[in-house]
Amino acid sequence: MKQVAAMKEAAETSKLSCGELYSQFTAKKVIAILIVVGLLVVSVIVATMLGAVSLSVGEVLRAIIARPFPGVESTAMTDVIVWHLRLPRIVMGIIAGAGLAIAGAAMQGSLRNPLVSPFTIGVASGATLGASIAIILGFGLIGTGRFVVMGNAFLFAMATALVILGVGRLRGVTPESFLLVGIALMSFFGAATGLLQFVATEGQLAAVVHWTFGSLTGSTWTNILLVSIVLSVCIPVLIRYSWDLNAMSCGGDEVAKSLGVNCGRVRVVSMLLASLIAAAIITFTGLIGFVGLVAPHITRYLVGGDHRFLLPGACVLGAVLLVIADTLGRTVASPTVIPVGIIISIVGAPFFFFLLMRQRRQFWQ
Amino acid sequence: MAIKLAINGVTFSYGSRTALSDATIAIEAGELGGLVGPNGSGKSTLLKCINRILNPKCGTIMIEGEDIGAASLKEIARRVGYVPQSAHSIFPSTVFDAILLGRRPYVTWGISGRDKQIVLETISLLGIEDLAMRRFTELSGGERQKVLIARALAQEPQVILLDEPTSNLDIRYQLEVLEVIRKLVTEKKITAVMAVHDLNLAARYADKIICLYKGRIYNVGLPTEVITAETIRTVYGVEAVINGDSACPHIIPLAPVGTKINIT
Amino acid sequence: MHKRTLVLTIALVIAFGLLAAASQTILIIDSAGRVVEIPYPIERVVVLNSGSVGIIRSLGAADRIVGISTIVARNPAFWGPIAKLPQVGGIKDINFEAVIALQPQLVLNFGTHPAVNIEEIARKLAPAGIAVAGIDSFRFATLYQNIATLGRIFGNIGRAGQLIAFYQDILDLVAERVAGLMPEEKVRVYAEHHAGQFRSFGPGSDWHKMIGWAGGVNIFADTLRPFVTVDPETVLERNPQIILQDSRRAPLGHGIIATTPLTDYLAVFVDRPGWEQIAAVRDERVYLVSPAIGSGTGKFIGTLFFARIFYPELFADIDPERVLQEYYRQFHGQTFNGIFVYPQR
Repeated sequence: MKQVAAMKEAAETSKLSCGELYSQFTAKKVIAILIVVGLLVVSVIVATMLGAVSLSVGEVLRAIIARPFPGVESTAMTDVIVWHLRLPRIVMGIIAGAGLAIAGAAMQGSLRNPLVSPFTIGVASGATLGASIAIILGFGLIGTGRFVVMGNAFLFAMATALVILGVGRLRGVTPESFLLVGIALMSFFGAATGLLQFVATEGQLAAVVHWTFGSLTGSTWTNILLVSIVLSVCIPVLIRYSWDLNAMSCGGDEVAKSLGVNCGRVRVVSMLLASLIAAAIITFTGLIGFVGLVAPHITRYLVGGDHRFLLPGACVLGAVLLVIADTLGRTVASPTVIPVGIIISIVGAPFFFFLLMRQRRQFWQ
Repeated sequence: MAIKLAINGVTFSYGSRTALSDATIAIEAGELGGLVGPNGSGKSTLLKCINRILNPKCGTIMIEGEDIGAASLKEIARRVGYVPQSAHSIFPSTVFDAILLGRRPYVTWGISGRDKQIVLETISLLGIEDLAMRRFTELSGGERQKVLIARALAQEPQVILLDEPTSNLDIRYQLEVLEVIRKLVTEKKITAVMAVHDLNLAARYADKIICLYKGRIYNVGLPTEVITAETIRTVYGVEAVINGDSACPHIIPLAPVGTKINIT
Repeated sequence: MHKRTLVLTIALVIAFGLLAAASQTILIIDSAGRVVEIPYPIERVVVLNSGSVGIIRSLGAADRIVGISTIVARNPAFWGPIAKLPQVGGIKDINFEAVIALQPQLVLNFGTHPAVNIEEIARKLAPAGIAVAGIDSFRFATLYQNIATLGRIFGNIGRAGQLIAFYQDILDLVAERVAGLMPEEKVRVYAEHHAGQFRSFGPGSDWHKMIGWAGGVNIFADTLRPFVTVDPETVLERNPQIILQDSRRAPLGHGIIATTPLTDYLAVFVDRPGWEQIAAVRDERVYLVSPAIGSGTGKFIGTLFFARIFYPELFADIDPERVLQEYYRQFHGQTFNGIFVYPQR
């Protein structure tokens, strides 16, 4: 009798310790994300202080405070630099990094493929074609003046997303069909862009090339507002899909279905939302690709593959990466600006490589 | 005893190829049904039709007298657990997280204390406490299979479906896993349907054998009734002798039908 | 520096010219540094880069051109009958069959343009017995040489000398007038490349030279490359007194008379955060510059336009428009209406 009680107790403690271990494990993930949030705060503060024009910390702070509190004095020049040049590009860096990273993470999960990024499925090539049509043929479907290029880029990027929706309806929703259609779309849009370049003048060609270099220079509060609206609709839906994405990336479609996941719908909707996010961002920034591939992987290294932590974590990490990369890009060779897309690949790729090499365990199998 | 799982006239085809036609079976609570038959006879198809991973063309599936034809996948997932042949995870996750997925039919985003409690109970039920914090991808085949069973149990199912759970395991793990399943069915009064390749193991662990042949049910009954030399000859095309006592037949396969037998 | 180049060039031209008279072929060194043997005299030539087409027309040899590129064909207002000649593709995607079908003795294209591999074009056309020379005709550093070389090829060295002298006179005039400016009197200039916002010119670019020759100070003289993307903050901080855009995509140039689209274009161009504080924008000294005077040989007269924009008082007696039309009359056989700088003052 005594023995049985002792055994029961032993079982109790082992059960408890197991649960405690898991609580610790979860807490570690939350702490990791909080550390990245802290890093974001620090990098945003540093980014606001740094720039081609050397402003003191006091000047920057006064300029920031002067808007909400008109009593504080600041010069018109610092006001413009802080409120119209630095803050918009930093804020755009945050939301673009967050958006591209979560789009990448969601796509990798729902297609069960670590190589996927928002650009793999043709969204970027679609946007490039749209921009090229506007620049070279002077033809736009929506928008006037300087917004023609943006409007066209967005429309063509979204056309890609709609093709994806059509694929889901017509050809079944396996990861393979999305990847193959993505590759087909990329080659088609790439070829169409190439064809257009035959009739382009040198000036138009230069403008297309300039557009394809991702940059945060053109960021304005209006652009930020538009992208934020898209993100604030799409990101919560993607995060709500965390469990479904876990089931799909962990066990495959059959297992996910047996757990009550409507795989087809989850895949189509998450792909559509991820494309929408990417389209909205690259419409205003041009092509910033690498962050969508690398941020999810670095986050996976930090918090594991559970999408409940991975998706928000990737958002924060993507934001940090883009803010740091852009700050480097505009300070290392000041007053020359190196496009953020180039910096993020130059700095991000070796860092990513380092993480992969350091990782004893297999990242995925 | 009430009939827990009733499959009535279920038919399924992949395009124009009919994989399963007019399958009708009834399995009671606490009963382990062993699904046998050669490759391509429709074992996996039948299992997947039961929890609607595949949508049958016609026929009904009733659990406790209730037709689940109109139920959502989520509702079905609360009643039917599924253990695949093997699972390959693309992205790393811990065993605890893998089992926690079994709670997916009950949660939307946050997990409750009860969800965690059930996962912990399942872990201790299967005696895999020491694996809980390991990565699923680092486990051996047998350990993985136990985790997959644990996940299905975390669904708190009335019916559990197992698709050849032992086919990739060595002999020790085969027995271990089957013992676990047998124990669960008997103790928790779960209804189980398990596809098995090994006729000896099927005969030993199943209460009832369902033999599929070319997409149709060839024979249903007690192991001794179904697993006969005649059945094996027709269904598998193999000559065999059956030894052993009446409760648990033991099969010794000799040669494919039509070849000369060299064993004396 | 330019004086010396001029003397040297003319001396070389005469020396080579004497040699040429004695043989059926001449040897030239092209912009890519290749020694090319060219039949003499040349009767049939395909010219792909528009700069060379312009110089050939100035040399009075336009009738020897038998084929052009799509770039030349796109500007019929300026090129007139030349634009209607058979096309053989673009500068980097040449249709070699079309070239051979025209039976030219010589094909001219860029020699050092990044998109053009002149050596490869030469290899492709060698079996057809067609000589290929890379004559850039767009960089200040080699323009006089290019003109002289084309003068030799087309047997009109005298005319080449006149053309070089015309250009050099303009630069000399500008240099003379701005020579007395004190450093603090010099205007700060921000020049933007046509490719996109905040794409600017650094040392090594011809626009940087033009601004300097015209007595201005390029606010991005401290950058490292000829073409750079600059930080918008810096433009505000350095507060340029003049802003110029190399406007390849604005409705400017030969045959253009409507100003309304230009007013709209300019309004969009300056509509950027903080630009209302920049001196150039406040004082309405923001100018769109047509490639007619902002690229190729146009840059000589373009320098005069810049000088007049920078220092209206110093150049009050000189109307760059009239100099341009005089140049067109003398070297292109006609005058052209059009808008070359906007706003026109």
